[in-house]
Amino acid sequence: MDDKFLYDARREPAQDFTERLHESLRRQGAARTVRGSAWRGWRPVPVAASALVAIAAVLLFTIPSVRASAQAFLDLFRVRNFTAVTVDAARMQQLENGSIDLKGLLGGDHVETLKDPGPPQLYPDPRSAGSAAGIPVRVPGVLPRGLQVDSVVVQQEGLARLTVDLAKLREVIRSLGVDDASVPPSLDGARVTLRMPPAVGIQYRSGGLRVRLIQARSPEVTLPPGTDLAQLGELGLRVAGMSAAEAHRFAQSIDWHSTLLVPVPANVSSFREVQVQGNKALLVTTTGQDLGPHRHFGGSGSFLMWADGEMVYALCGNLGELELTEMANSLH
Amino acid sequence: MATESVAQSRWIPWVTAATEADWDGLYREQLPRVYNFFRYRLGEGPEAEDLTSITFEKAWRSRHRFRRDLGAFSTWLFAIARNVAVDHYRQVRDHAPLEEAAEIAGGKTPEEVAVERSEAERLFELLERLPARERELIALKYGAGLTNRAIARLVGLGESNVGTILHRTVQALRADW
Repeated sequence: MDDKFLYDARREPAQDFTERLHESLRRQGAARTVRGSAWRGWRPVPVAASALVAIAAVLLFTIPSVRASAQAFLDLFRVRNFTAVTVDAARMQQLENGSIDLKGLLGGDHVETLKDPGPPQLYPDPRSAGSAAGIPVRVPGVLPRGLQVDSVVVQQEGLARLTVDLAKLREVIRSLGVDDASVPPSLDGARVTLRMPPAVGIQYRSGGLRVRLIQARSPEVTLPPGTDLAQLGELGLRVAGMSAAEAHRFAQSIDWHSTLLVPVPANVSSFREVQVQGNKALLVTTTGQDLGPHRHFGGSGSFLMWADGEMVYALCGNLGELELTEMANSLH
Repeated sequence: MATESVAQSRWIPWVTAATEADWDGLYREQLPRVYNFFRYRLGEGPEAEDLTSITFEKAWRSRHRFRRDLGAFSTWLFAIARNVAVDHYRQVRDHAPLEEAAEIAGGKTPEEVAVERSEAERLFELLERLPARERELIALKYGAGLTNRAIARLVGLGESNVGTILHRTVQALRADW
């Protein structure tokens, strides 16, 4: 390694990015306006990340009561459906920006990593990635607008266990301003195991267009038996910012053993159900408006999630929803 | 040094007069430097593009604040970029590891990409282990292509101090390579 090597690691910015930014700055200059960052390419990562934060919050609060039953089977959560739930944007912001330290409150000794997935590994093609992950990888037959495979990665299996600390759980709830929700004392010491099976991620790219396809077997949450999932799910919804009445109504209407909630801030996105190869899928579409604190939702793009048998899929990118759905329907 | 002087001479008229004619050349000249500063600072990923964009937007909005008598334009621009990086670290909490790893250069043959990936990955892994100050200096030197003197002005260290730190850091990287 020498100076030349260090300089040579530089790379030209993508042409499409260069042009878009240039044009955007020109427009801003001409109009004498400041329009935030809406011109930037849509970033599905934070959408997924923010959803995961809130999902984690919901899951972590969907904790079963412990009943002394040595011979009872454990309850098992597997994703079969995705359901969007509109949540309070301010609460999402609280969870995302760290003003509520969920990790600190729920982490520490209470979360054990039983199996570290390690960093994602690159593979030359989807087939070899599928072999490494032990899943039948599917790829889209339709690639709109010149999209091509850019990279293929495998994230290996992860396993974590959470042991509930009732005092900390109550502290989290109080810190979020939820004063009228009760936490069953029987939760104290309950153990919840989350298993994330190996996942394959394929990134497609064409200029500034980026689409990512992630596929894996369903994540599993193992719960002690006899859990009132609806009650605990309702608590999770309160944490996500839903009113008491709404949370109660919603909690009673879904199957908590198989439904993964995808929190969507009410003021930044739209969502609807679509069909992907005969399966119900959730399509979240961002609007591209200047969204203030939710600017990472800025730009336009879509996020599609569905389950098919044992597998779950997510397809996201800065394509229109029709093109994204077409891609999803072409998986083979 | 020569590149920097040319850059300044071309940037300053844009900043002071904001003429369209200057803008195109200046933009294309500085964009790769800022972009690579963020790549070396943060690693591969869409963040480099995002933060580059934020930097240029901020520079464009506050161009009236730049005073050529207070320093080189590149110093001013990279001061903005450094603040953008600091804000980014402050805001970012969780990243999806799959997404982080999925950002790879395009436009090359698969074999070229594979070689570059492995070398770039390895380099960025090593950079990630560096203390924040050392990594920033590497990003300013090799990513942004700034001189030691410009870096010294920017980070508030002596020029010889910058040179010494960079020398040691490169040696450490070489030892770990």
